[in-house]
Amino acid sequence: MSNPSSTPLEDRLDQQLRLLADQLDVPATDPDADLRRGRRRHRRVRTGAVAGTAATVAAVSAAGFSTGGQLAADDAPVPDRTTPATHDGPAAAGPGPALPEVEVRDVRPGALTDALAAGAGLAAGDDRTDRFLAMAARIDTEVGDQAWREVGLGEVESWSGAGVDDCPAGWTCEDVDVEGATRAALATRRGEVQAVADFGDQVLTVILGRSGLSGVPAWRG
Amino acid sequence: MARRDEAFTAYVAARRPQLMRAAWLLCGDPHRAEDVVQAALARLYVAWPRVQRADSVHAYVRRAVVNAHIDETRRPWRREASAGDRLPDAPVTGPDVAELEALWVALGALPPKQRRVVVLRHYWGLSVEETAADLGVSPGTVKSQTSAALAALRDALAEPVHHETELEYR
Repeated sequence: MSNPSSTPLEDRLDQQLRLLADQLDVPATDPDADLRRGRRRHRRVRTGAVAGTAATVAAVSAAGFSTGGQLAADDAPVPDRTTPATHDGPAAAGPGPALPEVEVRDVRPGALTDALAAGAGLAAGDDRTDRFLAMAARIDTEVGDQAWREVGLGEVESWSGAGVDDCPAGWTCEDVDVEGATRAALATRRGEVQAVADFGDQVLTVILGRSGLSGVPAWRG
Repeated sequence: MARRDEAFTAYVAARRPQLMRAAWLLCGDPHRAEDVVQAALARLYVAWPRVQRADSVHAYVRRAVVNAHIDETRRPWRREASAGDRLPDAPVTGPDVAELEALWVALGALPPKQRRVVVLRHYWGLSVEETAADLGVSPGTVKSQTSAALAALRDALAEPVHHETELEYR
């Protein structure tokens, strides 16, 4: 597929790559096998969501929040974000952490990466740009079928400090791969999503809400 | 069979060969390519109702293939198996076999990130911006990766020198 700005070398690569691909002897497969694998994954995702929520509720009930300022999830027996903790852990020092400012609004399905790549939400010369874009690409793949009313980008001090090792009640959490990150996780709840990725020298977070950001964060963002 | 299953099966029947070819170019061998395609299609099934409503099935599955390839290259046990990213013998035959073999070997020698850019831009025909969006990098990164890849592939892409041409300059 040639375009007006491509070089002869690129045009030749287009042509040769297609010839090469056409030569690959792709084995015939039964579409029903993909259907069965898809159904199995679908069952795992649904089962995991229920099991994850139940396990987290139990864990939170038993241990309480060990850090002050953790945001309350829907059904967790925890104080709201402005109430000091009453357990043995460190007391909350006041209101919970501030939500990241809204950086992008009204993102259509699957277009978060495009919105960020177009410059929305990222300051010129921000060295976190590629990292946020890598996170957005993963978010678009995982939950890119939804539109987002508001999206916030943020940075947290550390992975463990953000509480990412625990999945808050009411949320479904899963480890995901983000290019360039040593580890990353995604928390979802009724279409609300928070992603955190540890890039070694930076831990970044992306928070998405279908109707706004208030109350969305699963982890401290 | 539910409507979702029927639509998914029809999509797979129509598009799987192309996805498999793209994954094969990305991975360099058919077994890893099969793993990548299976992973991508399983994700697609889960997301099917919503991506179909959003009319973004193909873009979704393309990104899923790329992300599955990223996952694949980051698994330690896979990394060991693909040390050096060596490719098997070129699976090509026909009149252009020498040129295509050279391209196959050169493609296999590219770092995975450059290979992804090459496949997205020159096999799937995406623009710089679309490629950047799929890979989650900036357009500048796509341009620099493309430039590096083209430099590495230049010899493999050289037009064959025809005998008649040589004679003209004698």
